[in-house]
Amino acid sequence: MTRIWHADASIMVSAVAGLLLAAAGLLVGRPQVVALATPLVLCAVWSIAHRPRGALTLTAVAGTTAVRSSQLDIELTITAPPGADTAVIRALSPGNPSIAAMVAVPGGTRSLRLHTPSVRTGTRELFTVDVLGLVAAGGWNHGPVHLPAARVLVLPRQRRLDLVPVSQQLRGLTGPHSSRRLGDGPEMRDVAPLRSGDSLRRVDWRATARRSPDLSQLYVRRTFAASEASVVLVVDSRDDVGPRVSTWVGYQESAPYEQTSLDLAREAAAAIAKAVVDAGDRVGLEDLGRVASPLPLAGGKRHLQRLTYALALSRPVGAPPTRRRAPQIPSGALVYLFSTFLDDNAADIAGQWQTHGHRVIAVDTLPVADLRGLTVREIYAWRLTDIERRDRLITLARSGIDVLRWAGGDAARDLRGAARAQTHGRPR
Amino acid sequence: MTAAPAERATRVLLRRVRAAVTVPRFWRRAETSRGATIEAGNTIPGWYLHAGLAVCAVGAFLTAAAAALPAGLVAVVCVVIAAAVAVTVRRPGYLAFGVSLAPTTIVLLAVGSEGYSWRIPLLMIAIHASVRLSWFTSQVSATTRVEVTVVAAEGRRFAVINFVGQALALLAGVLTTVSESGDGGPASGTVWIGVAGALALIVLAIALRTGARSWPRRGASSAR
Repeated sequence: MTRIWHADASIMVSAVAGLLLAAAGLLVGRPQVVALATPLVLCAVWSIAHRPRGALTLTAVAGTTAVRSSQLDIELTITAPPGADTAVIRALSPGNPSIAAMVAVPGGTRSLRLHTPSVRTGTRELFTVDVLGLVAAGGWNHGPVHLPAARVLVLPRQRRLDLVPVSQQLRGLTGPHSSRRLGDGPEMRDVAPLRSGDSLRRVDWRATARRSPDLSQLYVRRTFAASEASVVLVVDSRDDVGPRVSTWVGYQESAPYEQTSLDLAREAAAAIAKAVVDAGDRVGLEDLGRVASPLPLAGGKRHLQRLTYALALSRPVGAPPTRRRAPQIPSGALVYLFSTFLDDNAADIAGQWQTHGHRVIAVDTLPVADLRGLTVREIYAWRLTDIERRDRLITLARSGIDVLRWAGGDAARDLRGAARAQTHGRPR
Repeated sequence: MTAAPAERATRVLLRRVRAAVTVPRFWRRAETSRGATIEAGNTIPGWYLHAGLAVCAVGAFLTAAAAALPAGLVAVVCVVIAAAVAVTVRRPGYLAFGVSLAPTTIVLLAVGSEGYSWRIPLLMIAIHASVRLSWFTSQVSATTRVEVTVVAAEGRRFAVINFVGQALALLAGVLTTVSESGDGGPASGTVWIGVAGALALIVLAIALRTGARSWPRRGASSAR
């Protein structure tokens, strides 16, 4: 039988100290000194008599594999054999210092919740846990029992946006917008004589009575067709940088309480997707960091959920690829490009789309830079990078591409303004 | 009544400053509390136990050496014991207990009185508490949170064991006094028989309580 409960030093220390005290008392002839050794000897005897038998087991449950929350937690259950009534838990979560606690395990089972606050999205690792089983009377220990970290997919939150710009070229025969074509939409176009193909249900009897009392000519009510707009969200997942520029080297990970550029891009894309879907339009998703099939244009809550999952799963893979040709976008769709614009690739692609006739809105998702911990040379390097980036954004703006800043600016107000300007100048 | 130009300029300046420092309502840097937590019951930090160990270890020596040694020497030994406790913060173990027990025992045997005195109960509590707190501090660091439930359960066990020890010490003291008053001399064999017999009864009680199967059996096979 393999011993899994090991004796620690307390049995030996108590026994030896007690025996030495007792021996010294005997030698000198002082019974009171011998009595001083009693608690130590009793501790040793008690520990030897209460050796646990059986293994300590550990389980952790994350609750759900996909969450939308700023706090991640797991439920840890410790099962100990009789006699083992204490455990020391040490837990480590990415970006946080390790935490430790000594807890009681009454009745052989104890369940605890471990929490970590996090504003990050995407695939996140939860806690790595080590548990040491103990007997509080001293003498025996088990473990540590190791539990590797579970993973959970954190979905981006969908902030509420009132108005967002959509494409001016409308498509289809159903949707929330009125187009110039004749159709079955809610907006009335005119009253015209009945022609072949017109439905008799559309006959306007009042107009007919006014214009043709003898009913020689029937008049029908004609309406504009309803149509929908198309929006394509393009996320630049080639890089994922945090606000602290010192972590851009790659050796340090961003803290769980700091949103990175990809977190901001996911949040912005999810918010705009929700606004578009709620308005009844269609939305699709493309990822510049991956050469894969894009999420096609569609509407509805299920498509929004699918899109949100795809956003959460997007991440940088390997070295950032350089795309020479812009991904193909459905004609007439408005493009939202979420990028940090730290290199020319995203800006060049935005220019290509604009050349092809798409309206492009560039959303700058770089977090507000934190320069703490940088050397003087590194600060100069950051300044040069920042100047180049600003020049890139100014060039985009001058070429007619709307540029919004998501972090540190009022993107909702900017989007609302752009949508209203578009509504006033929209061709019918 | 129109406002003075200076007042108007001040209002404009204040508006601009307010606009510059106000974060737009839509976007705020996502604020969240930092650091992971374990949802345990009421807890105390581990350094409380280190402080308790320091108190008990120094207290044991002071109890033994009070009014028996020069104050300077007592102070030096207390500092050494406190330093040993500080070392155990970085290197968990029983160093502080050993450093405290050695001079305490020497002083008690060399200088202490022969009979039962006020030192004995205090010493028993301090020495017992030192060894138990040494166990705790060897399992947890200064920043580890320790549930009050664990400490309370240990406190109950400590009280039971220490009570038995105190009873035994009191018995020894009584028997010593009786034998000395009877014989007029040092403690006789009756005292030792009485103390040893009481201790044997206690050990027997523990063995019967826990059952013979809990004791290690000679010849039991075990694979390493």
